[in-house]
Amino acid sequence: MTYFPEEVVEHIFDFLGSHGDRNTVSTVCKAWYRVERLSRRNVFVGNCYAVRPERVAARFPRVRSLSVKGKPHFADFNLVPPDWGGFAATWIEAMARGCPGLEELRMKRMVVSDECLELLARSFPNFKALVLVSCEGFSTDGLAAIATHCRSLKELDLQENEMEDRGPQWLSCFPDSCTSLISLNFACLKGEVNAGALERLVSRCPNLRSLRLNRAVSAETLAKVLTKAPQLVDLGTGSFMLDHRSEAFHKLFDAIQKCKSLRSLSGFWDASPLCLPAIYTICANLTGLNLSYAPAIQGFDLIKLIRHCWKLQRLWVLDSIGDKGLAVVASTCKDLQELRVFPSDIYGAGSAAVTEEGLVAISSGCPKLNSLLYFCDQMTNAALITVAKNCPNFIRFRLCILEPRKPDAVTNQPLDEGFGAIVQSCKDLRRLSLSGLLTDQVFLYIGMYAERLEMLSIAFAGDSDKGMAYVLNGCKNLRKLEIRDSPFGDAALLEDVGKYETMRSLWMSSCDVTLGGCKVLASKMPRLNVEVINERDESDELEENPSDLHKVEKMYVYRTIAGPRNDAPDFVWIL
Amino acid sequence: METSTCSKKIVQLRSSDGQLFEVDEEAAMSSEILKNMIEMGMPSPLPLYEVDATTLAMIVESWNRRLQEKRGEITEAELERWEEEELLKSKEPDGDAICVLLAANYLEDEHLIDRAGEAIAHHIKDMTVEEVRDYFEIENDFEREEEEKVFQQNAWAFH
Repeated sequence: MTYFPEEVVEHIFDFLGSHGDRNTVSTVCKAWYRVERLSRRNVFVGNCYAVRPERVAARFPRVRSLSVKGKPHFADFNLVPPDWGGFAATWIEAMARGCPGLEELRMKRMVVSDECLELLARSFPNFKALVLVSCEGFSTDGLAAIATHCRSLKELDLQENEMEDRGPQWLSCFPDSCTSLISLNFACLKGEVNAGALERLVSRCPNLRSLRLNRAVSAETLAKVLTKAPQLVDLGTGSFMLDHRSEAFHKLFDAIQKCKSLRSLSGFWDASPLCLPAIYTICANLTGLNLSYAPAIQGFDLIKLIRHCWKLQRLWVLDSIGDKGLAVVASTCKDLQELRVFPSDIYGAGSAAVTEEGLVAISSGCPKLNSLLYFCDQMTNAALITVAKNCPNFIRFRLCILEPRKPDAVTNQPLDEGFGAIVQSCKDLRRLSLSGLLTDQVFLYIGMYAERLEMLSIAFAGDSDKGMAYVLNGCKNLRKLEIRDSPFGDAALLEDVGKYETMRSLWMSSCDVTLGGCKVLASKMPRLNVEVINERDESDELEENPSDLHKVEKMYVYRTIAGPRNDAPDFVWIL
Repeated sequence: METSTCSKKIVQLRSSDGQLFEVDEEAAMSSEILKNMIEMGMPSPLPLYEVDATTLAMIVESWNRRLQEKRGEITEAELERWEEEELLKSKEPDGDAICVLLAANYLEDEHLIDRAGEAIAHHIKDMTVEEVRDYFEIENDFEREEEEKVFQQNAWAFH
């Protein structure tokens, strides 16, 4: 056996990017385990309750970048009650004690308090990047702490968080000596910021590449900011409301022309179509465009704008773009890789949005398409089969027909064949969301063909336990399965209990699983946490001691090496 | 007749198994160890106790090529291709890349350490544990339970 000095081994590990590869080499032998754990810089924790934070800090004391995810994905649809869990505090405390060299923290769907942010700001002298996605529990006071104490801050990225506004002072807390910002995103902030402080901050940060403002920032302020930061690559405008005949508009127009490096745009709150000419000249360079906050930009104005954007790789729009608009996207944006079409009117009172025609047009015009989120009124099997043929490269395919259980709009059949074609054709499919009328047949197809599938979202679908069983028996790479309002019960749940140790998590709500079934699962699989989430219901007399036959409203099951968690509220029972 | 001003200084190196190599001094300076020995005026031949003749031959050739690239006699792309295909045999990897990495580490040649490290990492990407052990000829010294525990922690927590 050759002797490998530790630094040689470390040199090899330096070039191993993925967590999977790092995990592999850590099990080669004891020496490699030790070298690997002391040299791992990026740690990813997919479920904050799968491992205790102290364990992470102990194993990887030299971690520089930590990512942690908390609540299950269906929390985005308000299916997870507040106070369920996902508290960031224990993580930040453990890192503060064990890993003072931490430079980056990324958290998704976690509860982050101002106290946590204060602790974070004070505990890590080299802290550089904070990214919070879909988090809650903090306010602008927490941001003030970060701004005040993180001397080398490069990135502050807040995406879709629920945060309390306690005033605009936080932005002024960045000291004059702060010149290192590369990325600043506060688009989700509700309150105002001090325009002067914003301009001064932007002026003194020459490396600023990405800036996303919130709705409260006026177009006049935007113009001033852009003149100080013409090097921006990614811009989220604030409010885009201006009189196009005004002096202010001309100033904005001039400022935008100078931003030759802009590749990605978002924001556009309250945008009037008459102001769009301000961005026409830079459209030809755009690779990313998000118009999902601009309902006033539609029809002819939207089409005219899209015609300028022939290099787009990523487009997020509202369904008011219509099938005609999507046809223009198809003929203009040949490099399109990701498309998201959001519903502009969830209550269905408006005019027809997008249908299967728009999707078919996109699929035939944009062969590089690999990621789709499509909210629509209707779909057909024929369309999905055509899409599958045109675009075999889908990695993410999420179709959301607004009305549950809606059949094929032409034949009135279930959409089993359409989705079947998608999974059969798209060999690299990793994420799939289903909708429309679906029988157990679609799950047979998924189990049979979706070999690389990692995440599956099911709502109002299937006929019987067989459906869920097909998926559990078939998809060998399945990591996350989330199911709501579908007729799957204990037989499906208990079909292959060992399967759940190969997955990150299973969520089932409004299904037919009973308390008894959950208890059986918990007793057979002690290394899983089986959580039953009961919300207060005054009319429910069985609250105190429900029978095992009682159907469980919400269940969340996940593998863990941390044992049952001790921070669960009383409405969560860990069996 | 005037000789060229860049009259090449030669150093002599001796491999661990006794073979002698003559190398351009400038080329040999790629190695921090040799650079120090040369600057300290150590007498030839300079002994390299941990690099055998086969490996040293490959390393010397890589230094010569780097010198050629520096002098504009070959392009950077040509150098990189030679390093990848000939030196590190990235396409049909055998033990060569590992020998080169060990030698480069001993010789303190940063460039080669990076190149070889990267080539090996690329080769073992997506391998299973058993495949990695085979490639490096490393024995598994974990107890069965320990190994399972690490494996489980990796898969359940860090993936």
